[in-house]
Amino acid sequence: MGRLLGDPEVWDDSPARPRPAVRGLVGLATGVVAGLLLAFAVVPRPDPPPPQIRLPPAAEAPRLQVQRQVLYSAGLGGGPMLVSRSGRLEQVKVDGTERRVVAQNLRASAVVGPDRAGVLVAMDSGVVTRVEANGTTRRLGGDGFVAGGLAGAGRRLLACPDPAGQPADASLLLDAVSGRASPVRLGCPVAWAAGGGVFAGSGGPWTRLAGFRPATAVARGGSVLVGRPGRRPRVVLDARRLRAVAGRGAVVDGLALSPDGRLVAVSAGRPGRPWLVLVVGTGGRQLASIPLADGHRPAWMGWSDRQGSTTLAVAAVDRRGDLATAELAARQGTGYVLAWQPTDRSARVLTSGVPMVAADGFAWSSDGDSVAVSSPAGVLVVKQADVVYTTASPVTGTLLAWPAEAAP
Amino acid sequence: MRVLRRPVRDQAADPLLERRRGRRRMALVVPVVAVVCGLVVGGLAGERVVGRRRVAVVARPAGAAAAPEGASGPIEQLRGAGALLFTDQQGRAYAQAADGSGRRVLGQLGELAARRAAPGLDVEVAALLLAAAPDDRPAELAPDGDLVYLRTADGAATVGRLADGSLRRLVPAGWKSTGPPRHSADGNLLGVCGFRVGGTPLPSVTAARSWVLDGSGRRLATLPGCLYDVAADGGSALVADPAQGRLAGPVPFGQFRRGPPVGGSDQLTRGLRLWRRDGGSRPVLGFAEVVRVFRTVQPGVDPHGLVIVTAVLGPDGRQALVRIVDAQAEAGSRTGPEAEVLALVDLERGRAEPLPEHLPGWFTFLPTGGLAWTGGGTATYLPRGRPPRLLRSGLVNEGVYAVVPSPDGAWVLLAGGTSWRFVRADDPSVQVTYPAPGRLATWAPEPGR
Repeated sequence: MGRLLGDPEVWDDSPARPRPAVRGLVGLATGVVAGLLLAFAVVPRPDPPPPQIRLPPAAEAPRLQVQRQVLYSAGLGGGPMLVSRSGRLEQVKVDGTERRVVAQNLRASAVVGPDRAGVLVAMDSGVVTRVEANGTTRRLGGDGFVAGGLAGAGRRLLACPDPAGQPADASLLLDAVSGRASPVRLGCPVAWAAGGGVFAGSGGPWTRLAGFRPATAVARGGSVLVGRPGRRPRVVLDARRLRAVAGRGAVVDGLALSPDGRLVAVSAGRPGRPWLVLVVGTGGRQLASIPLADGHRPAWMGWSDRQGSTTLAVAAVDRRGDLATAELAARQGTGYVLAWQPTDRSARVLTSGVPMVAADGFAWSSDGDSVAVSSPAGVLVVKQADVVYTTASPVTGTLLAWPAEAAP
Repeated sequence: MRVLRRPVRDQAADPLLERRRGRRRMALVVPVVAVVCGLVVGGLAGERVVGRRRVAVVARPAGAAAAPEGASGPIEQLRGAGALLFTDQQGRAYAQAADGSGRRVLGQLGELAARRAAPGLDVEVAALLLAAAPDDRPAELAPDGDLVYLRTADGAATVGRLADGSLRRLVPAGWKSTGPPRHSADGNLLGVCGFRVGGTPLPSVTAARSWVLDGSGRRLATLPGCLYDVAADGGSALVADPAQGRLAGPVPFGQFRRGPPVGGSDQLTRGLRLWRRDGGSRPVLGFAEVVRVFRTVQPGVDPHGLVIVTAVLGPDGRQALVRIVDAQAEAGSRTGPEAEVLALVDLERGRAEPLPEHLPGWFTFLPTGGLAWTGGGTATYLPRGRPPRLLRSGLVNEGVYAVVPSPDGAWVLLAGGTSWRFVRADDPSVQVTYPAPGRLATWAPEPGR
């Protein structure tokens, strides 16, 4: 209040109003401020936190590129691929188009065909089944026969027995049309020449070995026999010679017959020891011995049929340690595909490394120009001309075959 | 008018004032209680504020330089990943952080300018059968940004200094070297492979010799055959084993795929031994093993043409990556059969394991013990004891000349002519790319690390 000159001083004797509420609020505010200051002063600071990097949105892992031109070129030389996918047998073109279900409820692990009529024979959990073009199926080989392997060409088939609970050398020659079966003394593995009536299989002595399947020993033969339907198979590689070349205790784990039936590729070795692939003429002459990388074992072998010339592809996968008995599709290990030419006995690596991780299927194209390897990550196509061209394919599933003609 | 207030006198006896006294007591007690409550509330709130652990989210750290122009990917993740040392066409050397920031000029050296020995010289071709570098970097720079390891235009392994522009030639007069000197991590041990070429009508390596020197240039040893690598700790070096050369015999006339025909030589490398600085040496790769591993990719190869041209020691000195070539392979083998193989050698057991790859390219060890290499248009990383991973496909058009790991092994740099691609080894989906600022020389740890 302003004061005027001459204003007298006047005493107000009434006591000041106590205002407890106001004083309380002021006191509370003062206390809060003082408490905050005190806390800032005395409360210990925590350790600096580890920085969290804000990552960009999840990027896609690098993948093998789809080379459209290579895919187109590979597609020209072969028919649709036969793949097993989600419990169905399907056929699909290499560029991923024209997918068609061939048979429902069929988990095929091997396929022969299809023929011109679109009929094929598949092996599903030991059962050999004829699949008609309309998808209907018929069992071959009798109810008691459990197959461990299947090979064939046209209507002639050779099914070898799963040695669990059956004699190891009780294979069946089957006629896919009539269903007639005749026994032949051969065991798994078996092979059939694509262009001739020649088959091959494993013979004794039989040895039960661990290291092929989880927690069980499997019978494997120690010799190789070649035959024709109606004739008794003859030995082209006996046990003594096999062991002399591949080491003591070596057994036969894979066979492949060239299209003309004149060359047999034999994968020989023993789990835990080096494996090699022997190429033997059906006359018994050894043409080549292909050593494999340490701990690698052939998962597939196949001969191409390229306008009269042929090439052997060996797909070897790492089988060291825990990988020895792992399912192919679950195998987290490397591998490689080697192509070997019998004409000049030269070789080149078609693919290796990442595409072979969990590789679960393999096939030559019908024109013999390309090989394909499937895995849960997709299908890789390698076209071998003068230069090796590689491309990823949009096809998914386990590759079984890459035949010339599609079923109508 | 000014109103003055007298001090309150005792009015206890005044019954009319009893009620006001109660209010005054309240006015005294309430603020005290309120202050105490405020202290508690304020203290608790302060404790929560001060004691709370903040989550540091680093999108782009404050103060970090902006990403290089044209960069893509989470470049901030490269922060602290070391320093990249590189050169330009004029021979200037630079350093910058891996994330592209903080570029500075280290110096200039005429020998660093982009010039190379004339291609196609028979001398160079003949020497390719003696030694070939694991990558195509023209020079290496020491982490201090001063020492430069290079091969001069006249073919001499040389150590240069950016600070004063000096050059110290490491091979005697009359000798050429196959590449820049190999060196230990601290630069205190140097190794050089030297050769002489002669012969008519086709050139061939008539003499191969190696020199091991200390950091000051003092010669510690002179060895027959070619030296390929020096251990990071400077305790050993990987050199040709003359005993295996005698065992295998001379390499006959050949026509390696990279050039014109060359004459036969008994100086090329058929096996390896480990030279030790503290004395002695021991064989680590025999010719029989060289032949065995090559036959996994070329079963019918003639052993007479097999030679070792590259060998790189692993970070622990127990393994080596070795490139073996068939000197007799036909000129057209680029499109034909396998003419070379990469092999991982266990130096303790002397056992080699192939890394099957059609047309293998550049390769390197990671500090973590894994391997990375290029070939067939792809870059692959093979961690120890795990399946391989694809780092990149479609490399054909990227002009990659070196695969270089970061000092901690977390990243792999695919150095190309126009762009540098950084790939996280443990998660190849994380990739950073930016335009190549020059020709890569070294990926060094950051100073003080």
